[in-house]
Amino acid sequence: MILSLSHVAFAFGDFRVLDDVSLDVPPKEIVGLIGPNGAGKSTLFAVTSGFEKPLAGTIMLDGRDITHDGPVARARAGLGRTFQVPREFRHLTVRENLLAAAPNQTGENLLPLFLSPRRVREEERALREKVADLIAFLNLTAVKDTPSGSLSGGQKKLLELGRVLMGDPKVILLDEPFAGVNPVLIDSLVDRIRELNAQGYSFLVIEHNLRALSDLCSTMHVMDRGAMIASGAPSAVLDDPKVQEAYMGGVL
Amino acid sequence: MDFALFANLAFNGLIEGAVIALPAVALTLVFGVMGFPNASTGDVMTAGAYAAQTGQIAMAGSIVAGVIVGSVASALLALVFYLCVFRFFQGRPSMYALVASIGLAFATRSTLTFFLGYDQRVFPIPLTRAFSFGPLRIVPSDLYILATSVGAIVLVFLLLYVTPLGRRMRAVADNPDLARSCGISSHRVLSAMWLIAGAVTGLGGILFGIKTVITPLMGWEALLPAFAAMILGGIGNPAGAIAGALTIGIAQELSTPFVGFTYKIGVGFAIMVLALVLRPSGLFNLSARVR
Amino acid sequence: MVGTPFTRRSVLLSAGATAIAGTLGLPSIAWSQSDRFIVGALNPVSGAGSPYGPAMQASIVMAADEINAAGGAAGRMIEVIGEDTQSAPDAAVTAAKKLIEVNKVDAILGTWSSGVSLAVMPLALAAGIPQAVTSGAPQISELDDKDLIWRFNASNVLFGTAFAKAAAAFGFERPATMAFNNASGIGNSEGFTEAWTADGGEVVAEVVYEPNRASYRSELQRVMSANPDVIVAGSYLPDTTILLREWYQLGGTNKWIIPGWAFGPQLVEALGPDVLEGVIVVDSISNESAASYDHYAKMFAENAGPNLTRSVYSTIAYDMMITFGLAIEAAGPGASIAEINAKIREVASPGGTEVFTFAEGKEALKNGDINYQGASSRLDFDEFGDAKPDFAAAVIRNGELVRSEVITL
Repeated sequence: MILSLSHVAFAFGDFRVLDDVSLDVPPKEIVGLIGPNGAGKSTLFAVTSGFEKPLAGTIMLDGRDITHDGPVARARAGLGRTFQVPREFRHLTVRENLLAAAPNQTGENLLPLFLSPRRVREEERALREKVADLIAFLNLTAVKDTPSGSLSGGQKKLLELGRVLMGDPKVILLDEPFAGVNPVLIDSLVDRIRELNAQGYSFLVIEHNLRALSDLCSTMHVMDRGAMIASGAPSAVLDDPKVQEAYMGGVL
Repeated sequence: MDFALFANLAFNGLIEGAVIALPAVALTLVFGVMGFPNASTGDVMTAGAYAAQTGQIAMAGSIVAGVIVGSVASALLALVFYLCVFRFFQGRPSMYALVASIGLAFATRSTLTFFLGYDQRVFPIPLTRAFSFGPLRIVPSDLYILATSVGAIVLVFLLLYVTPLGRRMRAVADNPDLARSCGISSHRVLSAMWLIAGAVTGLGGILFGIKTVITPLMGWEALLPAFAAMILGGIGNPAGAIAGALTIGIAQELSTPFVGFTYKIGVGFAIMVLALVLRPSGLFNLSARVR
Repeated sequence: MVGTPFTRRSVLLSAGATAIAGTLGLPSIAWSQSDRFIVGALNPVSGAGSPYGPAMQASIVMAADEINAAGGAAGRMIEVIGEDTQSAPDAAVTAAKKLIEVNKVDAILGTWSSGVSLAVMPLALAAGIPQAVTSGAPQISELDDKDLIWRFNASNVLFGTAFAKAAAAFGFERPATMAFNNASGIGNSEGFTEAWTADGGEVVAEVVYEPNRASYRSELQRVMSANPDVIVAGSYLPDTTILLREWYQLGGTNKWIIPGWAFGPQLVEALGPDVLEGVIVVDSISNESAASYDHYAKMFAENAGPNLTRSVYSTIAYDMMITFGLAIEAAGPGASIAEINAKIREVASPGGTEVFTFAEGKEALKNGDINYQGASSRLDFDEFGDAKPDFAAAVIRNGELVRSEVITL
């Protein structure tokens, strides 16, 4: 498993937000996570990415126990994550956003900047090439020098994906990637995710847009009120009466 | 009116503004990234000036050696302040860090006077005579000061906008949480930022000391104009801070035929207030900012 | 550390006095304790007056020791508590409050600059205790409605008149003034202008400049454009350094008259002898022909540390303590502060045996009135409580002061 959550528990005071949740992401797979509002999906992401500490349970990333690592360490270990409301460095351009997200640049520390300028310059050149390719892949070439604060919602999501990719992650957590994105762009996003998956990236995706998600993922998990209530192929899961009830009898 | 008079006034104001621009840039960097006005900036200026003068005398009168010694000393002092004090106030209300910085200001001043006394000191630099350039009377040492200030500012900008380190600094200033999730160690970035801010501050103190005299209170007294310049230019905006410093410097001098020399300081602050009323975020809303 | 004179047993460090005085909790009625007289030595240890403050404080302590060694004054021992004004009114007020409220001083001696003295005066007047100043601002006399403020130096008007006499003596005809923006600087310049124009002369330019600026080029260019033959400055050491440096760099050719307190070895060190050659320095001088002057000089040489420099101000500070000591003695045992204050003029004014030391005075008081001839001046306070010292003009030659003439007003 590239990502493995075992028996994770979390509470806000007395309120059990996550109750013995387990979930696996096999390598090179796209796994979906759905559930009604308040089920605990975002909290699960927060615990997985290190912004909250679980009460119990373990989280393994490609064989390494990251349960006690902070978010920076997890990012470095290969865990990427996007947010429901995309976050970007508003005043930096699209290109600079991506450049800033690349880890381990020699030119980040003051001393090497002066002592090994050649190495810095070469790294920078390689980095810029990588970023240029990524920008083309994300279809953001037209806005590459615009401050990212002025992008549209969909473009910001693409940028966020790009930023995560700069960190060479092994697995990417996508938090509602299609929310607030116009339908045309959703298709484009879906294509990008598929292409990335083909290149070897694994995904765990939270989404409410069940149609788009079922096209994308191979396995789907359903949470309700802090517990996992169903797992399996998308069509099977969506037909499961427990799942339908959890969504309050709505047609899925 | 008399063009030569105004030209000279404007030029004098330009030089004054160029000196104040350096601590203004340091103030705005820190405020933009850490979120509080660093009142110890003034006394780091003073420390830098004393260190530079001591260094110059120790190195047989080389002013360049003095400048290097002074800038390095103030850079290290600022870093120490960050590591030992300001680091712990991150995430808390900025008032705490502000009060701490005032305390550091007083502590620095007391330490300096304890070891070095209250007497004024000067940089042992040969006096140069002014030459005429059209209607302007220009003193060569002022040109050196202007050039040094400009050079330092250019270096800071290169650092901020061209290097990977500068990019990360701007990223941390823009969105510290996001920077963390990207794996950026804000601790390293901030340490670098404090070194740079300290060096720039110290250089400002050295230039001020070269133009005037070194006294224990000199930096503290330069704090207010630097602060006004930062506010005028927009907090967190280094280009704005420089523009603010130059604007205030020149405007003050140009106002003297009308308001007299004693009220010119009031003019500087009046401009700042007026600009804030008209444009609360500061005069400059450039897209490329620290924050 | 530069010039800290805290080596005498008669000086109580603030901490100790705080502990004791804090328990008294008396309202601010100026009633002195009958076995002690507590003096607050409030002097410019730091700031613009720092060349003078430490020696002033040391001289007050020396005088107190002298008085105590002679058996005290009217059965009272003198205690001195020293504080620093930082040559700044706000810091001085804080220090004065502490001296008055916590240490319960019976007098404040030695505030130096006019801004400081004027800021401290209301506190002294409200507490009903006398204050002795070296400052020149005329407002000090005007605001002293209780006759509690004693100016042991010349007022600025007098200084300005002395400047004007010096300028005339050197043959100048087109003076311009540059004044530091505080009570002292402006007082000096206005005093000069009044005296100069009263004699029918013209002042070609008058500029007031702000403290702590990065440059005074504009101010200098304004003054120099009026073509003065001399610039008369009401300034302090740091700004004089900057003014003269920038004037020299701008290529000025006029002469300068600066006050004595703006001159010092630091000025020569900062500017070098070339810039200063021919600059005229005017200051009040001490009572150099009097035996009291020799006595003080000797005491200073024996007791002051190597870092302290005797100056016209330290001499004045010494006189302040001695005069007060004699007034206490003259008022007799158990006298109130008001009664002591009333004796100050008496012991220093003409009429009575001339005395030159405390011991002499104490002895002579057994037989009648005395007239203390101070080391700093004859004292002879006028109706405002102002003394009237002599002045001298000196010219800087090769970095040294060479006295040119004595000016008596």
